[in-house]
Amino acid sequence: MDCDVCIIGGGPSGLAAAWQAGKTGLSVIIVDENQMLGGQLKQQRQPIQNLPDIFTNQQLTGFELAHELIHLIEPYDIKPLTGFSFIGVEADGTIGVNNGRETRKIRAKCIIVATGAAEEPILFPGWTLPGSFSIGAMQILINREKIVPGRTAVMIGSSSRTCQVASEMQQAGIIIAGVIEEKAKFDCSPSDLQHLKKLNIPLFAGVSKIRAEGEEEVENIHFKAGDGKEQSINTELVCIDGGLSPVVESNFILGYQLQFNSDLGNWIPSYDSCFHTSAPNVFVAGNAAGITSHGAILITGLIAGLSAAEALGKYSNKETVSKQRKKWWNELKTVEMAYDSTVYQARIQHVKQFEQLKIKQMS
Amino acid sequence: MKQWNPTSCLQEDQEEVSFSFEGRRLRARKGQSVAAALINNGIKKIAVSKKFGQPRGAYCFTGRCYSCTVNIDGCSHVRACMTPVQENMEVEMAKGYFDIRNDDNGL
Repeated sequence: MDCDVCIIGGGPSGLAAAWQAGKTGLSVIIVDENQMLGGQLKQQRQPIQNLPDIFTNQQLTGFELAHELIHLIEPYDIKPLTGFSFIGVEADGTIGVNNGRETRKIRAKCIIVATGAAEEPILFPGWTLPGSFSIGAMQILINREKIVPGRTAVMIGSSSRTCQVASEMQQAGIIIAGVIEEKAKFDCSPSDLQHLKKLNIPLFAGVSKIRAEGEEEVENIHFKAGDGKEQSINTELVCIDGGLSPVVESNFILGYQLQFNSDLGNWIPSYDSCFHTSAPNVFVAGNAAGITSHGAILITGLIAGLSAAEALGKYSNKETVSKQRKKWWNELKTVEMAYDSTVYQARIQHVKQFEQLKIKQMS
Repeated sequence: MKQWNPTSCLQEDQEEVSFSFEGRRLRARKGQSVAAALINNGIKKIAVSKKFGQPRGAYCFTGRCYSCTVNIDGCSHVRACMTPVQENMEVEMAKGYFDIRNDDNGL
């Protein structure tokens, strides 16, 4: 198969990049491991805040945003290749993808890495027992697979995602027997905390020595509470929220340079203001370029798509492109500052560092 | 589950399929993943760890942790969370490859 742009990952950033590149007449292939496009949006029931201007409807849930993006790319030469994983690149740059039965080759002029983020676990004795899930998995189970995996659950972690998933679980009929956090204070906003209290969920901060026990499945969870008392809660489910980190394993194959940035989720690709990595014609977008909010994920996808189209000579007027890119960077600033100002500042720093390095290498 | 009403979802397939796990006949909704179908049938332990044979189940549901690998229709190391369940699918727990790490270390 031949195409102009191959996008790895069909989540929000991949779809936004595909739309932007496809609009210019480029042929695009989106490779995604899942059976359906949409990435993690497919199980997000919550309304998405701070969407970029291109969405006239600002009141979209995750599901609806996925629908909207899939609808947006329909008119263009954009082929989804679902169920396929990106497995390698040949010496001449030909991409290999595999779905467990067959391997296909894709020859693309540009690659956009939109692999998103993965959840980190919190390790404690018994975390591998059946019945222990990441909170993302729990959201998939109740919203996408539409099953209720157990009657009671204990959440470990206290980000805003934990609060969101906890209330969704309770709506699905699961009793939240506790939310426990190793840090002295809860991570979430005061309003989220208030919400958990209103749901009558027992909250424990500053806990230590967590351990899950059970013969074949999780049966109970023990920990030392902040006040030093040993606690034990009977539960069928344990939900672990260890935070998100960018998925950058494609670096082993594509060879782009990584840089450490703790505010953006630790190791992320180096990229310039076009979201171009250090590897020729390889771009990055979305959470793979630093953990951020939905709005920012979409905008980074748009910028990467625009820059890929520019690299392939789709814009004769350089000025229009840089003007558009500037506009999106401004929007990225607004959206990301509203989410977390340290993330935006870290991103600017990250881009500057790489651009300075490039100038140094050229001289 | 009285208040639970997932409104807009991408999958609305209500067609049922039948499959088997360890020879046991089970039912599932078409479009569900094998791992979710098993959990819905009350089965959480679907694998054992390769070295110590400890119980394992699906953990991440995004295909990254490989905690849920099973044998499907004779094919080993298939991720149950990434595979849609299909009519007459035969799912088995992976057994008998403890020798791949036969280094007497702890066994």
